[in-house]
Amino acid sequence: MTRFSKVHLAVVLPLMSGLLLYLGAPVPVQAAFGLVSALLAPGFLASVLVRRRYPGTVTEVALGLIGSVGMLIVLGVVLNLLPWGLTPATWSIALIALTLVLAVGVFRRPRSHPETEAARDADRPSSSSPRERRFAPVAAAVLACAALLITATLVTTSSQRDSVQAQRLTELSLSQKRGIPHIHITNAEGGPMTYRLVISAAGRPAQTMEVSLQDGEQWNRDLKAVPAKTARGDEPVLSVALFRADDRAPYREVHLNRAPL
Amino acid sequence: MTTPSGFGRRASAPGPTQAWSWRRSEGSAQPRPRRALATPDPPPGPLARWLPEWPHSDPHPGPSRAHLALVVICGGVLLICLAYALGRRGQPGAAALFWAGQGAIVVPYVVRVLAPRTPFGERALLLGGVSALQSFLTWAYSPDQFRFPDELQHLRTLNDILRTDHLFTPNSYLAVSPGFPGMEVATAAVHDLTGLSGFYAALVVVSICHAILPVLVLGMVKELTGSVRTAAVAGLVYGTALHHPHYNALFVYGAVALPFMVLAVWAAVRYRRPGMRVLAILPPAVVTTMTHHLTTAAMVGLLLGCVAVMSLAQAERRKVVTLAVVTVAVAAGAVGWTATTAPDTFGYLGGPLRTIVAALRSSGSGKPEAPMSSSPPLWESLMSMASAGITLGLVGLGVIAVWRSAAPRYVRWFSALGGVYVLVLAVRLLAPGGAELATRALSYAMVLVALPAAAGLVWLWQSGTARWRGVAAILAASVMMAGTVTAGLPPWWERIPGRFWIGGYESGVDRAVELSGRWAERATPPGARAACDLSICSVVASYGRATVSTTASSVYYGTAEELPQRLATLSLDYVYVDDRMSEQLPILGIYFFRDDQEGRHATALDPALLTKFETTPGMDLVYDNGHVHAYAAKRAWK
Repeated sequence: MTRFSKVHLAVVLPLMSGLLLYLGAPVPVQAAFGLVSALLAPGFLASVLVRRRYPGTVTEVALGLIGSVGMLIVLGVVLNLLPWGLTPATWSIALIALTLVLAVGVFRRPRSHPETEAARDADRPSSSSPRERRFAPVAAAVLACAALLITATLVTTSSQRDSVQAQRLTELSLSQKRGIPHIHITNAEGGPMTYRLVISAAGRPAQTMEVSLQDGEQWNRDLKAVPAKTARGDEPVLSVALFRADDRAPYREVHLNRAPL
Repeated sequence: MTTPSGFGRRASAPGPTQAWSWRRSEGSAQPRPRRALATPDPPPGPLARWLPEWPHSDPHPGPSRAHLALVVICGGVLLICLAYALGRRGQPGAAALFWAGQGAIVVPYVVRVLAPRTPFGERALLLGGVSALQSFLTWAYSPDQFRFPDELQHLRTLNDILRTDHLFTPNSYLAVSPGFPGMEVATAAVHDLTGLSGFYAALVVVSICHAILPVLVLGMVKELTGSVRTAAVAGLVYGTALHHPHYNALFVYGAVALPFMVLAVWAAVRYRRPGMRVLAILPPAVVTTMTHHLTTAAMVGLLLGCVAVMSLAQAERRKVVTLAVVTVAVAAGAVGWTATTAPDTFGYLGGPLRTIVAALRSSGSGKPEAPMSSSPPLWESLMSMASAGITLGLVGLGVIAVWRSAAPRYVRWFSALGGVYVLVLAVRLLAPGGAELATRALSYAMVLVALPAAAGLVWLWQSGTARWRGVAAILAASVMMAGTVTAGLPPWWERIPGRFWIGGYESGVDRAVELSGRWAERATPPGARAACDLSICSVVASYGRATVSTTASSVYYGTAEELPQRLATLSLDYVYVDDRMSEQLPILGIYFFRDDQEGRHATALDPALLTKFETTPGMDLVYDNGHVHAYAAKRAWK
């Protein structure tokens, strides 16, 4: 790819990225275009703009990446001054505007005019033969690296998933929203569970129910049947005990408004 | 953005070598002749014969072996990931696999970067590639979420930006973080423009900055010396800063600010050449200022160092004055930004500074840090010491070698700034908490240390007999890199993930702790005041936006009778209890922020200290996940 076409690509990509964002494209497509347009294009255009010549490959990548990150930071601080703030739409519009401004600068700057560089590229002697000779081992090495890193990724994600699933637990919580007690249960035991829920108000069992949950499933319930006040006018002691299947000891226990012992 | 350059230059372009011939004639009537690599000039005296001299010119590059080196390095990465997997499954052999993987990464990397005939592209690729793979390994260490406390502090700032679409929302967990939002802004941009989650967007941003950093050091040193080899070795040496492989690859603001700091220093170094513009310093300086306070302070210090070096090198007076003015302007801008957006920063940075000064003034009376429950293996301590000793030796060798070479005055004086390494070691040995301070300082000091240490390594390779000349340099660099693993993060006790450590860094955040943070997010109001241990505090302050008390250890250590009064004093809304505090000693010597019993824990907490919350009137147990219990405390004291 000539440097001339790279400049055009750097202008087109943010536009396409903005369009994909507007159309609600799938995340992988949006991510591919978004990453290049946000993290490479602005920095590349800026480095072409401020330098007398088009940068070499290493410089191109290094300044493209770090320059883009720097410009995103400054752009974000500027966007914060606007009433809309930092939203996907404002980021997209700002990025397109920035890219267009940089591109205009690149095309207007005589010493860095892409056509000059394109002509220079064309005049450069071809080195296809040595490159072709080196292509096979380099391609093989790239494939080997990719295979090793993909394996490493799979090993990591699967071992982490297993490790998290091995930490089996159930969450029980009790809260009050506008005076109404609310129970929340999450099953994170790694499989389906059946619980027995015993709710006591003012020391007396008020309700018993059975709850079956799949792994990762949540259960929420407002306790509207519980009396709001005791005969003395106090809020009642409310206890919730969660039992596993046939266990006699509570597995989880929470309480509200417990009186002094 | 105006950015300095130094690599990717064609042979016909005016380069540092030509700048040297211009500089070399300074201060002497006759320019010193350039010395060939293989045939140094005969030394003038018996002492000089044994003194090193830096061979600054590079031999003709040979064929690239980058593809082979990278395959071996990727193999090493796979071995480390397998070690992590074994650790998570609690199986033996993880440590051996981990070190085998480190060896597979370090050896080809060091050999190819140090070798005289490695081409420029391969050196740059290896520097950037290995740094990128370090980011990969940091992800592999905690692949599903942030766990390090500092990351969780910044995650709260990021979530605030994504929630409000605006900057500067107060963050009680790290009050200075919203005032330096650079990293979070870039992450929010990637999140909004790509649809990636905040976690993966952050990984992308930080990985880019981490991968680029040693390449920028390469560019800066190449600008100074004109030698691709020395510059690449300097990039390698920079990578031995203790925080580089892991901490500076985490979601922490210094990681993103560092490359911009190096860019600013690079621009300042480049300014000494004719026709260069001093304003090139400003764009990276502005980004650094918006991103991290400490890096900004270090950047101003490094720019002042450049002014001093220019002055000592008898550069054009106008240029010295201009650079000084720009440095003062950068400092003033940084103070202005900090005073406007994060005035707490001055107090935040003042504490450690006062500690260092007091310790240095009292000449070594600094007390050691809180003792940890266990010490690292002896060989790891020896490796860390050897690494520091070798770096110190190389800096000394390098400064002598550069001064004896035909390098211009500017380069000589710049290499002398590498002596700052001695100061860092002094802080390490003398100041209380010196290990952490010195480790953090090395991320900045290594920008100066890299040149002389690299010159020392290059000299080491060139000297001696043909058979052994490379071996010593490879060994030295390998020990330096191993030292970054043994003395850096993660510490030895959580180097392999898998085991839960109460109050640990990443190892303190297991599923029970994480879920307590998620519960706080959905069930407790933002800003609720909470007492908790270190690990739970990091998740409830980050996910739940709680205001965690940093003086609440007395709540846990006190008796049941004293509890209501203590809760009232701290106005606590919630108290979190992890029952594993009664099973494990704190690996860092503390369970809580400002632990009253710091360093005095001989046994785990008495279970009665934790069950007293259950029996205290007015304490409502509102959350239970088996290990972590949350109590609503307000009724007990209000």
